[in-house]
Amino acid sequence: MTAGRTDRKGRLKLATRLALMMSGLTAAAALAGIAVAWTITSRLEGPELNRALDRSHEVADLALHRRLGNLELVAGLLGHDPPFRAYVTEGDAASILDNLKERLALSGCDGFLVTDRAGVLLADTRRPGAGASDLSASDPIAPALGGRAISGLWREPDGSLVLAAASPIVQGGTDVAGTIVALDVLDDALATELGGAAGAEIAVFTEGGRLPQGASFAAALTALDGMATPGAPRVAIAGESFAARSYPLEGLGGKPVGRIVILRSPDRELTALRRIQTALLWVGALAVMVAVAASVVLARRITRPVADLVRATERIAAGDLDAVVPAAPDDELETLADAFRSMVAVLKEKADMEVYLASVVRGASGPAPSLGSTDGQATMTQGAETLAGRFELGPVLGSGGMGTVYQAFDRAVGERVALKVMNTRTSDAAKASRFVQEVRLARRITHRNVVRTHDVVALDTGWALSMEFVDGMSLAALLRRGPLPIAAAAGIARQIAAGLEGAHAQGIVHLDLKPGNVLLDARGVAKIADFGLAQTQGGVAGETSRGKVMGTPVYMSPEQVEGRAADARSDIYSAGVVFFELFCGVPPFDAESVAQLLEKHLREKPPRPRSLRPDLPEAIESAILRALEKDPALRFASARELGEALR
Amino acid sequence: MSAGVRSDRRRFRAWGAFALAAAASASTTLPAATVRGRVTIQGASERRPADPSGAVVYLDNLPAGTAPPTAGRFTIETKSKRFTPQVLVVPVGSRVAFPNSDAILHNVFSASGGNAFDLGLYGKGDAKEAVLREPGLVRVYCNVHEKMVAFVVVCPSRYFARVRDDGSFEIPDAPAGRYDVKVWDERGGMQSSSVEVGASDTLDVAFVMDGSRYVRAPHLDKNGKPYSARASTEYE
Repeated sequence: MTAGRTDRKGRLKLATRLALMMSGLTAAAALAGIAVAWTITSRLEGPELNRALDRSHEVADLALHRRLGNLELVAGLLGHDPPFRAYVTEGDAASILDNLKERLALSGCDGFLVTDRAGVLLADTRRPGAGASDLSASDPIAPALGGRAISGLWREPDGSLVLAAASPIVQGGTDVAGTIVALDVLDDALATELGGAAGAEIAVFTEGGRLPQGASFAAALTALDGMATPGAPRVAIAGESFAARSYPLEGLGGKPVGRIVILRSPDRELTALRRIQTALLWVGALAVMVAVAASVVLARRITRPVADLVRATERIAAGDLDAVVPAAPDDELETLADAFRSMVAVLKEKADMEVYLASVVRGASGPAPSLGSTDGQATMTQGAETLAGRFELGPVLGSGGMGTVYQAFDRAVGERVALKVMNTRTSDAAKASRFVQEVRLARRITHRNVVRTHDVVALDTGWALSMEFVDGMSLAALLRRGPLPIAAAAGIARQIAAGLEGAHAQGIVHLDLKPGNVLLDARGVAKIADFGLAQTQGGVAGETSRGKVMGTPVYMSPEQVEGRAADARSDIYSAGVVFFELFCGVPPFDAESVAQLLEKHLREKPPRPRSLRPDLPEAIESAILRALEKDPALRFASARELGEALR
Repeated sequence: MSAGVRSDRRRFRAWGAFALAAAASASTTLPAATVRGRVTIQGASERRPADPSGAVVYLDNLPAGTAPPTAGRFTIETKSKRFTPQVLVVPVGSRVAFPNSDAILHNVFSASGGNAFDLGLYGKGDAKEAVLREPGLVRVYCNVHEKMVAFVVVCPSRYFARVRDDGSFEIPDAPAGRYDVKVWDERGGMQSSSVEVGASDTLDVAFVMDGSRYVRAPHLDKNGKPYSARASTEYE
């Protein structure tokens, strides 16, 4: 009926809204997480990057000085080694080189230079065949010849940039036998090592040109040629973006010897984070997908019973009272479904009743059994007779042992009423007051299935009773047409039970329940009339107005037959008789005489209703039979129980 | 240290060296006895004994009147920063020359008691000598090259032999009488066994030495300082 995602008014269906809400929340949570992670990772760029470059430079500088410290240690040890000094004193290059080669392996230095006391080169481990050049004026040798150890960056005569630690070769006093310089070449390998320590890429420039060493950074150096100035621009090398910053390199004697360039690749450093970001995106997308699917399933599961109920409601609203109200899970929804089901049942009952009554009216031959006719309107306008100056009498609706019932217009309240004018004229004041008392009690009953008693009016001729006017017919009239359909009969029976329940709740019993006392309006509402009249009228048995043998005794309970105390359970017995007749078309007991009939009430077991009406449900049969128990204690204890048994 | 000359000789006796005096078999016409035997040195591996060829055997505490040793001239070459041979046994008073066959300068020295010497730096083709005047073990080093090590056993008698590769040794023409048979090895240290030898006996002596835990200890240079202090082995 409501295909798609919207209901008839174009609003989103509950399930859709629920699913959207749940997936929306999940997606929002996932997006928030991703956004936070993104913000954090993005902050690592910018100023943070400049600080990172500075830190890297500091670490690289520290690593350089650490290496210089080691070189100092090595040079110092050799400078104070007696056998080595002996070699130098001898000036034996082969022995010196041989010795230094052993030291190289142990010290991890890149090379050594040794000069004699005049500063003339004796040995250079990196250039074993080098000629005896005079280095006495060079930056590291000059101080060492003067007896002072020194270390720092040094541009060698050939232009190489090295870390150098020079020491005089002495023994004991201040006699300088020569100098030793321990060296580390500041080449690619060292730059890479420094970079590893500093967590950055490092390139080194000599002042005025590019460092001759350095193959792996050839491309980088080309790109960086114009960058040997402070600042931290971005530079792209081989497709990778670097943040770069250059710092001056100070050599021995405070001479500037070049620049060191620190490069950091934000992309590379953020790779792990980017991976996390990507993973987050995937996980988020997956979570959203799963959440959407789960939300849809969950929302459907939650709302399906509701939707089913809604569909059923819509069908019923459209008039299909046979629509099945679906079973719901065992929760509030089931309670709702149950309530709805019983409401539908009532509706259906009413509808059935209306249909039935309509068919009765259509099929009626002769005068309609209707108690109320439109003639009443005409009668009233005639204003023929007025009782007690208040009731404009209309047509006679019926007459019985107790009196005649007129349709009337009550001027006092401006309402159409049924006015029962009692035949009995009582001179017994006590009896009269008791009658008034009973009627007043009966007035308290305000129940849908009980004819409302309005007032009791004293007339010259006796009493008149004004009651709710029921535009319909009596059950007796209906029954003359034969047994009712079971659904209609059950509806009437339940209404009778409900009416009794309402009266009994007020402590009022009827004691003369019979089809003639049950009125049905055009909508099928059954109303019990004449509450409170039986007792005061007393001994009505046999007092049938038209001399019918089968009068009220047909519906009389055994205890009433025996003159014993009657109570609400007597009404239940009478109701049982009425119901029997309602479903089966005839009362349970039939007899030639009242005496026989009464005897049967006392002794005879009633026939099984299903023997007369085989399609009667067993539950209704057993309810009728229980209501017809001779012993009041075996009947239903209340009209409520009776009504429930009829469901 | 562990290879040093031990003054505690009881230890060596306790080692259970044993001697078998075999009755002189055939000719009583030969006046000289023979001391022979076998040296086994337990190495780090239990299955394979250490190489015994570096061990030397000599007779000591000979009876008075035995012929004195005759000094000789011996050579230990320095070649490829090694002493060759690494172990030498010489009679007391002998001269040992140390010719340098390397292209670099060496400084051969010893700090072993009365036999201490320092030959100073000298280059290829030079050969300097030391005279070893006291019996005992002389450790010879190079002041420049810590790894260069040689041992000279200065023997107090004329009776000595190098142990052969298979561990056997033989000292022919040994005198008769009561004296000690001593064995020295870098790994096994010194062992001594007292024997009594008849005029023409052939005496079998077996030595079992424990070299399983031997590690050559670092030594000092000629100035009494460790080499390590001047080398940069502690470079970090």
